[in-house]
Amino acid sequence: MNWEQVIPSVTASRESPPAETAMGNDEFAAFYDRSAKPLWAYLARTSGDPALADDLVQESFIRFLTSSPALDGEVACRRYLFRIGSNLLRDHWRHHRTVSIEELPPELSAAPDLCAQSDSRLTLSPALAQMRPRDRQLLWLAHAENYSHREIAEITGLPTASIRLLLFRARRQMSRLITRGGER
Amino acid sequence: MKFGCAHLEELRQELHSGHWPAASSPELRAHVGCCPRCTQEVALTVHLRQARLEALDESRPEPASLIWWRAQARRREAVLARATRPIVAAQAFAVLVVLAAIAVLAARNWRAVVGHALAAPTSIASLVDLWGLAPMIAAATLLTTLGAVAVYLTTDRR
Repeated sequence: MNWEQVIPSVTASRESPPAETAMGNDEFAAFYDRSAKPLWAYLARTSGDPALADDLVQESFIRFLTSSPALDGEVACRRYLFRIGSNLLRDHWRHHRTVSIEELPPELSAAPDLCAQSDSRLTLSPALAQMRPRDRQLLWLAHAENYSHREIAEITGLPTASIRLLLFRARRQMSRLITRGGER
Repeated sequence: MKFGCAHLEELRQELHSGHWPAASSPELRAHVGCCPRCTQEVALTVHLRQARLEALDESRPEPASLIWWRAQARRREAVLARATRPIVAAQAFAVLVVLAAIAVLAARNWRAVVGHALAAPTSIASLVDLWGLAPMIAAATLLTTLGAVAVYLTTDRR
């Protein structure tokens, strides 16, 4: 039995976009063009796996479109998108490693191919690759994306009060790794 | 434990707007030269911004139309699942009712059925007695058919 004949609203949704969609097709295309690459950069550099980043970017946008939250402006939409991506990445680590992202040993998620691709990375990238994913995530959001502590808390799901301390520790650890790397 | 520096916000704004170092004030540049926290901020931000630019170049996102289409397909699936949930529940209930009816019917007429099965229909009289069971057999057949249809409708996802 074909239920789409019985329920007209289901059949109608085939021809036209669902009424609850927050963005139209054109609006979404513009938003996607501006947000897909930064999201990919964040996920690829944080996870160290470009193929995984490809999958997570797609899934993040699909979930963004299907969840239709009431967001005001592109900045809020992008923040929400980064939040979805962060959650998906965390779920990925949970399912595949059976430990939380905070406890994950750095060597399991280090990205060897990220290093030594350009001169600017020669001193800092090995250090970044040795850090825990959570620390990489925080440093990326704070320095590459220029998010505030409150926004980072919103994206990562961590308490706002702890972001400051976690970032301080991440920076300090990175400085130590750089110093250690420079001594060799 | 030193978290920050009084010049950090100003420095972050300079870095974010792209003014650092050329368009920054000499005072700020002089301060960064002697403040470990600000030096660290500059090193990290410049490096991670560079890494971001390189990653943006590497990125090859799928066409937006493809993502849009997949989202629509998933949304339709969700709508369909939501809409058919009460129907599936009703069908499951129907299956249970049919099974219960068959069980009650079988329990009530169990002795008659067993008696007829054991007694060999050697005479015309016993064959005539079998007609007494005809309504029960018809009811059981009907219920079994209805049960099979209900099971089919419940399990048919299309």
